[in-house]
Amino acid sequence: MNSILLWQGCNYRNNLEKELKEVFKVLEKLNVEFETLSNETCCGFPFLIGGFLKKAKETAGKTIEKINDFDIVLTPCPACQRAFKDLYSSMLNLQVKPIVNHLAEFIWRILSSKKDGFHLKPLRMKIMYHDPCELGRHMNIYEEPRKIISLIPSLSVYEPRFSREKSVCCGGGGLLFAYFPTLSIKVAAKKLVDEDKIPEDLDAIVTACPQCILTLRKAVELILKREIEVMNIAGLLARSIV
Amino acid sequence: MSIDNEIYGKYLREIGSALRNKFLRLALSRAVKSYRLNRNEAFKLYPYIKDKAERLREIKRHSLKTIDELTKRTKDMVEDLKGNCYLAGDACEAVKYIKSIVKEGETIVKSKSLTMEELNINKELEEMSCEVLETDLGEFIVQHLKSKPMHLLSPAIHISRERVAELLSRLMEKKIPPEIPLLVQEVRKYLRQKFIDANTGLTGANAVAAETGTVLIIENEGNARLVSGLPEKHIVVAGIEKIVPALSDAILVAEVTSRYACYKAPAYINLISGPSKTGDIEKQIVYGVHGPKEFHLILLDNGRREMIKDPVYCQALYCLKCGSCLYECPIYSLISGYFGYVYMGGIGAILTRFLLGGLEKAAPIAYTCTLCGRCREHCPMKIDVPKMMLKLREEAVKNNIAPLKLKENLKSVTGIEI
Repeated sequence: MNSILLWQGCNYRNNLEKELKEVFKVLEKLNVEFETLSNETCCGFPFLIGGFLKKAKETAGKTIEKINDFDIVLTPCPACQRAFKDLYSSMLNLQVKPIVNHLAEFIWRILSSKKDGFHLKPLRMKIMYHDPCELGRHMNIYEEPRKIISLIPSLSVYEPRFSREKSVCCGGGGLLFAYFPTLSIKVAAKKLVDEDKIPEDLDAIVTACPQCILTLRKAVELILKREIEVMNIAGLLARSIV
Repeated sequence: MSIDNEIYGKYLREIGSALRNKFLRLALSRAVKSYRLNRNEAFKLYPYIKDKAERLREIKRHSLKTIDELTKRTKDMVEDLKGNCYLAGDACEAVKYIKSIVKEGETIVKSKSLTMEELNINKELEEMSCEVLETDLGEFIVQHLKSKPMHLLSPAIHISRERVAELLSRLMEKKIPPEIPLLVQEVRKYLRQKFIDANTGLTGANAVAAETGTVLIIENEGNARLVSGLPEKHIVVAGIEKIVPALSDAILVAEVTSRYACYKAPAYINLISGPSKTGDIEKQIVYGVHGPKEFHLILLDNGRREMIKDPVYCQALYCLKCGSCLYECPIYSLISGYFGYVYMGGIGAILTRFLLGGLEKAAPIAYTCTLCGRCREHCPMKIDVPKMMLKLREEAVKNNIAPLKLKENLKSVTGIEI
């Protein structure tokens, strides 16, 4: 039996507690045995992309010590995933032992391997999937979230004109949300209105990155002033899975 | 004033006001829309352009690797054709050279060139009592409004037709209505005599072919032909990264650049090898016939060799200045050239760091990038701008000029003090 660690990420732990609970719920429904760390801290991603490499090295070193005993590290945050899988080695020359998976990849593997072992109830809503830059362009994961979504009955899916490798950034990437939040949120609003041209009857935007959730949610609330939910893919699944 | 405020304060305040500028937003969204339409058409007509771009990328890579040989070959060829070729180590040397050719009080016509911005040449020549005229329509407008070019190809992207009409009415001392074709005609009339009067023409170059010492200039308006053809002296300023081995490579640059700049075909591709000449009387070659008598090619280093030596930043010199990354950038498409210094957008941050402005001007741009990688997807040369941004940020931190606000906010998010 593989030992599995759910690495939650700062954004989920600090800003998205409800969404984190949904991640737990889905994993439990899928009978995944996993652990979390009580002493989880920052993975170092913000330091890596902010240019603070000394700090990043220090943080990454501590993180690797914590996660290296597990076989699989599973995370709902594509930034943490990219740090573990790519940036630690390419920028810091540090290696991570466990297999690292984004939640969407992991969930899809389980769902596709035991097709009859779960039941998904229909969701009558219209959603759009937003490809996070970190997950899509940087980690090349486009299919798994879409496959998960396609399993849910009655769901209507709006595909924006720019998606996958041409997807438009939410505006929260690259630490811009921490450096110049007003600009971030305006980018997000422009993306939804001018680039994605989201339809009038859209109920929810589903994505797979906590920063995208936070930025798009702010734009929906403050600028679009519309009743559109912005949720994680696990949140969507949590509603459907029985 | 703190260093942080000096570096980031004004830059961020300008972005703040750009965000509130409704007209800018409208102008930009129109420009992006029409850019995309044209690009799709151009790509449909020339589906093989992506393969050509890939081939050109290889040529660019190879050219930078053999830059010393290519520079030498170019110089030899230009001189063989009785032109002059000057290797300028930095902007100062280039300016000095130009000032040695231009005389006090001359009329000088210019066609659009970003590289020339590195020299701040207008100011330098005006100090010699020269009249310096931008002849590209957008640059002409921007110059006379004392504004700042906001796009590589459409410098006046942020200015409305009404403002242009006001400007021209003042300049021509008559009422000119805000109708675009009329405005264009007025500028044509105004500049016609200037072209004829001009003693010197200043241009940039899209490519330089070493094999034949040929300069290639792409344009649509026809101003570059006049600038390079009518005055007695033609001075070209080109970054050394513009050199490719053969004329056919330079043509490939023209094809790829114009397709990605979304022209099916640019109206003109100028090819210039040395001064004009004739041998029609007794086969004796005389230089200076209808075209310029003097031809000067200035090959500018100004930080480029330093870039070539760097394995990461080097790729930024593949940039064709086609502008296709800008329209697809989430930040640029919202605030235009405010996301930049003289060189704009993500790629502009790297060019700013090395060619014009330095790290202090580059850092604020680097931190305004979302690192989303959309530019890389649209770049014909597949330049990995996000990767270079990370390196710029690393340099900013090493030089102790990373934004304070970012450090504070990261501390509150991660709980870790930087």
